[in-house]
Amino acid sequence: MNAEEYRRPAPRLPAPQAKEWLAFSKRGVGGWAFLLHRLTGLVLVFYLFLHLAVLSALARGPQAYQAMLAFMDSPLIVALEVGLIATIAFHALNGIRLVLMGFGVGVRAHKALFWVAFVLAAGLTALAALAMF
Amino acid sequence: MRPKTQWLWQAFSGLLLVFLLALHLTVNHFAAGGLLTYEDIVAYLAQPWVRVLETLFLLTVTYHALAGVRGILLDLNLTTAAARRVTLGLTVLGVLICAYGLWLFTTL
Ligand code: HEM
Ligand code: HEM
Repeated sequence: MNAEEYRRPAPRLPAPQAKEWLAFSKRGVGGWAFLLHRLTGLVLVFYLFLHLAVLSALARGPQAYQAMLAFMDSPLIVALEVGLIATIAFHALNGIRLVLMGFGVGVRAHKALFWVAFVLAAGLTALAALAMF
Repeated sequence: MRPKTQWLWQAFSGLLLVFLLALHLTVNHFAAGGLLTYEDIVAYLAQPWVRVLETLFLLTVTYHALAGVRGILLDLNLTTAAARRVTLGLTVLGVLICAYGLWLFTTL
């Protein structure tokens, strides 16, 4: 490999493609599934950071932790937790669908499988909400 | 790593998370009919196999989350140098998160 070849940058996506994942027009079911999977993934990353930060109360001992729990015991937080369950349920079930697709399983039924994942996620969320409220 | 290998690890860690996260949510949220008290958590984590599973969960979820963020950032048309900085930054962040999580376990 000569020096010039070595310095050549890796091929990049053409500029318009880079932001395409956020575009709202001309999206099929697969496009919406992709966007939802990405957004739920980012929400879960945000939650992970928040969760670990809040858990630092554990290190400050039982009183600090009980105070944190008392704060968490509010309808608003429980509602947010139901939202969290919905986010996890969709990301997990659609994630399983994506793994199946990746291995070529059920590719022709990918739209139907998206709705299966979506409805199952909604059902699981409803059950969790019933258990939590 | 080649993109295909990266996707396989994302898929594998995702499937592992189905079980670990389901366990985590069931035990920490639903089993005791609500949030656990401090004493409940200490007793729960005193079981050796629970430590192993919760530690595996911490490492897996941190990997999956940050590898996912990396994939999204690499979609943004980055130069090779910028992509390297992203990988380095997220790796350091991941190590810090895991170190913090493991330290948190030792305080209980
Ligand atoms: C519960 C089980 C989970 C499963 C089965 C799962 C599955 C997957 C799969 C298969 C992908 C790759 C999608 C693709 O490009 O084909 C993915 C991406 C991702 N996941 Fe998960 N995941 C799970 C949990 C989580 C959690 C807990 C987080 C965050 C803390 C997370 C964050 C992400 C992110 C940020 C991406 C990147 C999305 C993108 O590139 O568009 N996932 N997940
Ligand atoms: C509302 C649902 C949740 C509740 C009530 C909950 C509660 C807890 C509690 C009480 C702990 C400390 C004890 C232990 O390690 O088991 C903990 C730790 C942890 N949780 Fe959650 N959690 C929830 C959801 C999640 C989600 C969605 C994630 C991932 C995105 C997550 C990731 C973690 C991790 C990685 C730890 C280990 C932290 C450490 O190293 O000490 N949790 N959670």
